[in-house]
Amino acid sequence: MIIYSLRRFASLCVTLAAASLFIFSVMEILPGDPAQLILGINAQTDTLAALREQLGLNLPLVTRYWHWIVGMLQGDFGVSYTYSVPVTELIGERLTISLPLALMALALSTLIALPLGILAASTHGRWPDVSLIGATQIGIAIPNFWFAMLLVLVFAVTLHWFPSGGFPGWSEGAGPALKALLLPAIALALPQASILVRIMRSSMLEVLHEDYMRTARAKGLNLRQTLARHGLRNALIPVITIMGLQFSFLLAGTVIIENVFSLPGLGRLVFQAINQRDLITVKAIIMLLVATVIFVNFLVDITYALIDPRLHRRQMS
Amino acid sequence: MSLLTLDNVSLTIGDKPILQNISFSLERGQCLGLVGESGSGKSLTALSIMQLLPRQSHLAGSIHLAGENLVDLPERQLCKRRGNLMGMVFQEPMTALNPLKPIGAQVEECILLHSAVTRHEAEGLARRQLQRVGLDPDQISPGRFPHQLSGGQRQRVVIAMAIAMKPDLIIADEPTTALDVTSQAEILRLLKDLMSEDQSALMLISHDLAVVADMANSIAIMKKGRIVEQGPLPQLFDSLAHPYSIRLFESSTHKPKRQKPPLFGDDPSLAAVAPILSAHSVVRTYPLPRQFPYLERRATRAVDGVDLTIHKGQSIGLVGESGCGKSTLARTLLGLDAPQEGSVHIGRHDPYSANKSDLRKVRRDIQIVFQDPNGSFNPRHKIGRSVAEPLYLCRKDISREERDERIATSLQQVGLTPDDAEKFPHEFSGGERQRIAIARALITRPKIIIADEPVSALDVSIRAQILDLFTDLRDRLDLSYLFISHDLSVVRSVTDEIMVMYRGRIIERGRTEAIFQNPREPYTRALIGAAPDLHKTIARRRKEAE
Repeated sequence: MIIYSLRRFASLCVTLAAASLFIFSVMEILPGDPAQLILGINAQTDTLAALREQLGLNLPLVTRYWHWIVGMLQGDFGVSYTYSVPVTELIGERLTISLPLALMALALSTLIALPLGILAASTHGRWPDVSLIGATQIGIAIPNFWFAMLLVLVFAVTLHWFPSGGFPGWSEGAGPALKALLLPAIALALPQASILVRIMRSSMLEVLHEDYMRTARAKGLNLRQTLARHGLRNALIPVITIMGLQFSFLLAGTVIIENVFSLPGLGRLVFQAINQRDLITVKAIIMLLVATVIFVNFLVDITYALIDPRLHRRQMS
Repeated sequence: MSLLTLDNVSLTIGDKPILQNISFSLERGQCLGLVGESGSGKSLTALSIMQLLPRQSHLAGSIHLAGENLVDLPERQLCKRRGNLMGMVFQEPMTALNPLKPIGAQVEECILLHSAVTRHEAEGLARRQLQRVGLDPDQISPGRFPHQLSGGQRQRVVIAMAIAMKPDLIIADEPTTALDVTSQAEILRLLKDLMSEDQSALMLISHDLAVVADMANSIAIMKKGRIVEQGPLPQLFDSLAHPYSIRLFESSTHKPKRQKPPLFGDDPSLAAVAPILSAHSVVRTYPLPRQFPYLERRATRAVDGVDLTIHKGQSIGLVGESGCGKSTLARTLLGLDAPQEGSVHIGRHDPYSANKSDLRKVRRDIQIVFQDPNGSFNPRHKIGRSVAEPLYLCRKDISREERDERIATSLQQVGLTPDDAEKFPHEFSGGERQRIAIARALITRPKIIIADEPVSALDVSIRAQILDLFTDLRDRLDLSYLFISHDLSVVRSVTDEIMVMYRGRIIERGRTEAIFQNPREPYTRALIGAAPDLHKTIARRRKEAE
């Protein structure tokens, strides 16, 4: 297990290094001079040169890549061209919204999807299964911004249970903050949960036909015990893969939902940064997202190994 | 009163009748053999007793176990009986265990479920059961996972679970079909011993009459959901009356009749001609996975210095237990898997250094028939298309007429009709599909066919037909065979010479009958001794009965 984890970790580091090199190169190839951007078209040549010097744009590529990497490792992503504040601060502030939002959405979709998926599988072909399949069809088909507006209309505008948008910040305590994030989290969780229900269901159905499930029944376990003790862990393997992919999406793929609820999250920051050609911020966020994806994959790999001993144990006999 | 009594049990699934009026009884300490072809309802009879039937099943009649009618019991009560009063051993040890749980825990689970013991006590009891089935906990830790055990060891774990509560009844559904002869003999002996220790009854399901003849006190022969004949053993073998039972018996001891005399490798007529297939000191190693990146990889020698020559018209058998390197050798001989050392020649050409056009010629001369006739065809292709596939090896500009003619000829050679080319694989039975696989091999007019366990997946009666076909084709077309099998009776019936393979090496070779009569190597002797032989078994049983 330790060797397995070390190997996965080594592969994580290599992937990260490759990704950083790629992102850096692409950003270099993109046209546009940051100094020109900051100072505008009418800037003086010598002012431009001075600013380039100050930003370190004149240094050789290798040196700049090195500075960028070392900076990131120390938590320094540079200073935003548009906001003139450290990018770290900028991202950190947004993450206090995006991270809890993503986690909430993931938790919600998991909590909803796994039991429903198991229910659908164990009632295969009968009404709970059929209606769940229908419901997930709708869940996948509904655009989540539309569902988000519906939620706002019902729970914020009509019932006044939740705020319709905005974020009060964590300084007021966790209550109002979580309350503000709940509706967006539900809107995000709906399509994810619908997909997860289906994956869980088909994975469970497959496992139900496995010989060891029959063996378990022959031992005297009832259907529920068989599902819980022998089915679930085996069925979870494909589900975890999908959950890993979903989390990466939830962290930054949420621009539309953030707009509907006017939440200043990471998705909106990327959107704005790209619009304003704030390349240093864009670069930092992309690197952060790539790192998240790679790291989540690492976690998924480790989880696989915890679930399935075949992955890390070698034949002993 | 009998321990187990089935009275007029009928089963329908959906609207389909599966079992009709099954009646038999089984006493404590006795063994009942249930035999019949696949699809005859043997397994569903077992599952009816366990009450583990698929949904939409309807069961009529009564099944009494120790005085209780299981058909009437509610599910909760049944759960208390399963694993406790009746244990079941399944056919596929490779998939019958949960891959994610240690074997000890899987045995423990059964004990915890049915008795009021602590987890610690259950652990001790589980160790004892594993010990009883021959898995010494000091050598094979109960903390191991199923994938770390061999097929035979896994079947022992399944048996340990089935016997953990000393059930009155053990149902074993083809418990050794997926195993080698040597493991089969061990597992059967184990079941026998446990049965007499615990005084439990054993219901043994098998398609192999020899296995049943060895173990059972009585036998029931099933066909299409009915029991056509039943009675005590060995007496029933003298008075088989139903044509189906007689056919089953005859197929089990079937020996194909050959027109031409056997051809041995030392025949003087062969000295001057070049062999069709030859291998010289072939070594094929497989690297094991690295323990850690950059560490040196160790390798296993799957094939370790094998020499062989096969001449036109020769039929040679290759026997050995699973994992001994038989299939690897076959792949190497076919030109699919280059050896690290030594050389292979098909005709005059070395398939690993031949140029493209020579290679095509080489490939045309050597064809293969695989074990599983169900998985070897694309279900969406018509049979004609599948059979014609190897034709690209012949000529590129083959005309439509010639192609169709060749398909028709091949299909006729294996006893099918040219019209079958227009059908899809699912329209054929398993035996017919194996015929189609042979037709596909024949279409290039090869000189030699490598048959890798070609009848292992088939029922005895179909097996007999396919073996007849192989023999007949050899007589008519002067084909050579390399016949690979772990089943010695199969190899014995169709080959002139055999080679015994053990851990990548050929340890013994010679004329088939000579080796069967007088094996030199202990391993060969063990292999032959472990192989069930119906005639011998019946003779022994009769002697015991007297």
